[in-house]
Amino acid sequence: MGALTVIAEGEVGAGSAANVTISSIPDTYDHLWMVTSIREGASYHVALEYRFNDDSSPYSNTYLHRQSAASGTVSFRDTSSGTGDVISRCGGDSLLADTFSSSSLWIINYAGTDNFKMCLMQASVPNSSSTDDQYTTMLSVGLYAETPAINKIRMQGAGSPEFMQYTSYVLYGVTGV
Amino acid sequence: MAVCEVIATQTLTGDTATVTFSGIPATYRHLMLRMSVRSTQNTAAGYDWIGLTYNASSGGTAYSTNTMSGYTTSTPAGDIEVGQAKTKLWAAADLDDAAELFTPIAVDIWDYASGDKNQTTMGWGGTIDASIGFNAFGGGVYDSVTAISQITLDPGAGDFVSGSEFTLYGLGDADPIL
Repeated sequence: MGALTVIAEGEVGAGSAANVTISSIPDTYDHLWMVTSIREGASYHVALEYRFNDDSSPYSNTYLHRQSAASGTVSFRDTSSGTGDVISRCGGDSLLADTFSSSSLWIINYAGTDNFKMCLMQASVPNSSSTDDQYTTMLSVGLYAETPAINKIRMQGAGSPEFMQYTSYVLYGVTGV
Repeated sequence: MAVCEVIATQTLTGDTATVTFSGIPATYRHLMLRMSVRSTQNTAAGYDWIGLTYNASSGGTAYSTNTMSGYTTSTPAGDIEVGQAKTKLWAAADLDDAAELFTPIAVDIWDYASGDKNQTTMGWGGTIDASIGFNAFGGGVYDSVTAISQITLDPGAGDFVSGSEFTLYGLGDADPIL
């Protein structure tokens, strides 16, 4: 039996979309894996925010982040008082034309009711520019310090830039035995 | 045939020193291991590492590990450890953390059954507690081309806490190997 099941998928059509929201996620899988190809409407890159179950807290994040040759790789941490989401990164409309950033989100044991929910997030925002802050790469680990199963995910860019046409996502349910 | 299949899942019902997947068939192209773990180590603002060995080979010097990591706001670090008995994976929550904190670790093992390549491991994980954030990506090499039929995991300083979960997946490819 296959271990991956598509729970939801979609692509932004003509125009744009303020966010992507996936509701009624069943609790019948072991893990969730969300794969996205994103271009949003502002800047080179912005925070990509994932909010669960419509909760605005408590979230924490820790990051490994590189967007500058001069300053090297940066590690930093946001506590629950500083964020309302788990956070990755996505590319924007100032990037090379037709360039979409790649990101993935793993939520391990998302349906357990005794454990906080933790996420592993990867993001690559490539560009044809080597100018600082016009590209980025990020590995982030996020904590949603609540025990209920995750049944809803909202994904949006920080400051609410619109997701541009052809932005796409697939949410997989990953099964154990 | 599905391109991704579950080989085995283990959910611990008591504290356990080691977790072993044995009898891994050589019929897949790649392996993926996903875990949600917590260690009985109890260190303030601490975390534990997970040792990984293949084919019951622990105790030798055939493993090396390289890691890129960030600790809270410190300058990120790069580490290399050679001639080790295990590959190190990071990081497991420990007992000073909230009881509900189990940390994720993702491990990918490509071409594990090739027979022509040393076994390599790519891993990524992290933990966040009340005072720290730790985020580590890296991997290791096991100096052996023998196909992997067994994987053993054990925390560096403690045992796995009851409730820790482990799932091993097999990935196929375009060849009709499944």
